[in-house]
Parts: sequence; structure tokens; C-alpha cells
Amino acid sequence: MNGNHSSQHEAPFGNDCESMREDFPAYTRGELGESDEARIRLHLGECAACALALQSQQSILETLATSQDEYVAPASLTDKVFAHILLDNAADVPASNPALTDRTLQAVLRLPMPAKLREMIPLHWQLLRSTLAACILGTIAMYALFTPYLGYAEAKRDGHSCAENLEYMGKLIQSYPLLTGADNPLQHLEGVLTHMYFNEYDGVASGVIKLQDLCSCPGSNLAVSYSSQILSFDQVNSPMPGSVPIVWDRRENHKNGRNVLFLDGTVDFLTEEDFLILLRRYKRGLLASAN
Amino acid sequence: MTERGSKTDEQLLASYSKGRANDFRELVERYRQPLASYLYRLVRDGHAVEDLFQEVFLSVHRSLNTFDFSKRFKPWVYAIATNLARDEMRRRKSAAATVLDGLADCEENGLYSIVADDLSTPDDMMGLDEQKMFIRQIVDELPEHLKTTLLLYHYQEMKYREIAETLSIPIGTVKSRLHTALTQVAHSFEKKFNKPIHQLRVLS
Repeated sequence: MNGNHSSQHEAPFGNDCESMREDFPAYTRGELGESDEARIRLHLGECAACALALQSQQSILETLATSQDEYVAPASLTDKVFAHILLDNAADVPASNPALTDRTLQAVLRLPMPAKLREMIPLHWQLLRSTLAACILGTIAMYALFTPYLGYAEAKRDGHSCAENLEYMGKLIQSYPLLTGADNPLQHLEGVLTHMYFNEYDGVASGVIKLQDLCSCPGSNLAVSYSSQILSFDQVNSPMPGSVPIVWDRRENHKNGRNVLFLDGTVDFLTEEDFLILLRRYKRGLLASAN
Repeated sequence: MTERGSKTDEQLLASYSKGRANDFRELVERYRQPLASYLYRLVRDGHAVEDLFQEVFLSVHRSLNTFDFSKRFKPWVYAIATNLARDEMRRRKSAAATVLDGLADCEENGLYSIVADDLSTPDDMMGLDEQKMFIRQIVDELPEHLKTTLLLYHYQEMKYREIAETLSIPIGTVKSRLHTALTQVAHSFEKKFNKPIHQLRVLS
């Protein structure tokens, strides 16, 4: 491409011309400082070859500017990004936790199909709005009911820690809205639980097992060992403080305090006293935001 | 909270790193068309673009903890995209080389002469649109380092400083690459049509 071809504006030019021409793109866009701009303007008045070279550059850039976007990025690309991230998160299951790897991972791998769920939500949204709290409670009740038959003891043998369970639950909660586009982060919990509820409802048996695994604190003998913050829709749609406790140990689970999963996905172990202070403060926040 | 839409890229990313997933969605949405177009201009394959675009933002997601929030997001994300596209192009080039090796025997059957005929359309048959198409084609065929510089400058409307940051090169190199790219396009055009390229402005 760099042959010996000559053209009318390709008269021999010195270093000045060369460095001037390197500044032409910025000059055209008005991005040069005043003194540089004046220097080029002056030079263009004196050097016909550079004036033509500038026109050539402008011709090329104008031609490129007239070409439309040759590729239209599909709207679904954004969803695909989040599905990709979700899968990546799901792959990050602790290796020391075979029950989670085998069951939960498989279940999470089903999450990228929430097109089904997303289609379902608008259709049944009114129904869901009025019955969601009942669904969540019903789901938890089902875990309690099915626990003796679904390998609760096996999950405990796997030896994963309570904090790990909560952390992984947090990942699910965090990942889910990436796919649904839910605006309020407090809807994450509902999204995950509702999805799992429907999975079970559709007869996907692992739907029950996976959340039952996650919902089990190894330190507890109780069938349902975590409590979760179940919020009304008014509360969900209120402006909320950033770090909200959403799932926590029941008091009997540990001797010195409770593991708490926060809305941002972090898990912290709090003394009973600190936990109660947090909960009171949080509930005051709820009341304030409701007013 | 700042009103949605007025947040900078860096603010959206910072917000995502604190757990606001929907701000990341907005960031991805903001880059969907421009970044995907940039990738397409590099790899010329829609399916590959989708994969690369996902990889770019997965990489952003994974690097959240290491991102220096005092730096600008745009050059960073374009740097990731450029590197991934570069790897993809290399991979394709080596795959294509393998195929071409296999085709070498076909030369005797006249395959190459047919291709050469297609490329040598008589100049006088080419109108203004064809001339413009030729320019775009020449840009497409520029060496990768010149092409990325020109694409970032022209289509992504980056300043020299941002291009330098994206490609990890000095600003002086950006200037000279841009100049070389434009000069090469002009030379190719003049060689093909036997007239200076600035005459296009007069015609159009």
C-alpha cells in the first residue's frame, strides 16, 4: 500500500508538514489548544500540499461517517451478559460442598431460562402481588414438611458451614435480578423464592432439595433453621436503607450469636445483642420510610 | 440518589460493586450498541460479537475488585474488548491459514483467478457509492493496530488520550498511527481510481 504512487498533494514535505498532518484529526475536531490551532491554520495558508492532505483526511472520515451501523446489537444481548455472569457465579460453588455442587449448581444452571418466569410474571402479576407472601410462607412450610424425606441428614453430613450456606443464598439472590431486571433489590429475594417455588410446583424435584440444603444451618436441629425478612409490597417499594438484613439464623442455632445475610450479599456473624439492635434499627427504618 | 441516566459509567460501576445489580444492567445497556459495533468492525461475525461482548462484561464483573475507580471506565472496557477481539482474530487467522493450506492444491483449478477477477472490477464501472464502499473496505483491511486506532478515533469518538489509554501506547504513537492509517487509505484509493481522494468531497 505504500508504493511509489504520487498525487497532486503529495509534494515532498518536511518534518513540519509531517507533524502538522498528525494533528489534523484533532484540528478537524477542534480538540487542539489555541496556539496549536493557530499554528496549523497559518501553515495551511502557506502550504497547498497540506491543505489538500487535510481535505483528503476529511473525505475519508466523512465517507466513514455516512456508513450506518453495520451491526445492530440485539436487545437480548444484555440478558445474555447476565446469564453468562450468573453461570459464572454458579460455577463458583465451594468445592468442599458436594451437596451444593451437585444439586444447587444444577438448579442454578436452570436459572438462565427465566424467560419462562418473566413471561409468567406479567400474566400473573396481580395474583402474585396478593399471594406472594403466602407463597413464600408456603414454600418454607413445604421444606419443613418434606425435610425428613429429602436428605436433610445428608446435607448436614456434608459439613458446609452456616455462613457458606447464607453466602451462597446471597449469591443466588444477587444473581437473580440480573436476569429479571428487577429494579428494587428487595425483590431479589422474592424472585429467587418465587422461582424456586414454581420450579417445585412444576414438578422439578430438585427445586425442593436445593433450597432445603441452603436453608439448613448445620448447627441447628430445627427443620427450618433460618428466618427471613418477609416484606409487604408497600415496604418493598419504599426507599430502603442500603444494608438490610434479609436472612438470619434462628436464635437456637449457635451459642454466641447469629449469622446474618445482608441485602448486598455479605454475611456477618453478630452477637445476639448486636443482632437485636440491628433488627430494631432496621425496623425503625422501615417504619420511617413507610411514613 | 442521582437521577438515573445522569450517572457516569464509573458511578454505575461503583454502585454495582456495592450490590446494585440494576446499575450494571444500565451500564451494559449503555455500551450494547457502540461496543458491539466496534467488535463487529473488528471480527465481522455477528455470532462472535455476541460471545465477545458477553466475555467483555464478564471480565468487567470479575475485575470489579481490582478496578481503580479513579480511572475512566470507557478506555478500560474498550481495552478489554480490543484484546479479546485481537485474540479472536488471531485464532481465526490461524484457522483460515490451515484451510488455505488445504486449498493450495486448488490453485491449478483456477479458483484464485476467479477471485482475482472479482476484485478487479473496471474503475470506470464504479460510481460514487462504490468508491465509498471501497474506502470502507480498505479501512477493514488495514493492519490491526492501525484499524483499531482509526475505529476508536472515528466511531467511538475517543480523544488521543483515551485511545492511548485503551491501547496502552503513547499519545505520539496514536497520532502517527492515525496519520498512517488515513494516508494508507488515501494511497489505496488514489491507486485504484487514479485520482486524489479529496475529489470525493466535491462529488458528494
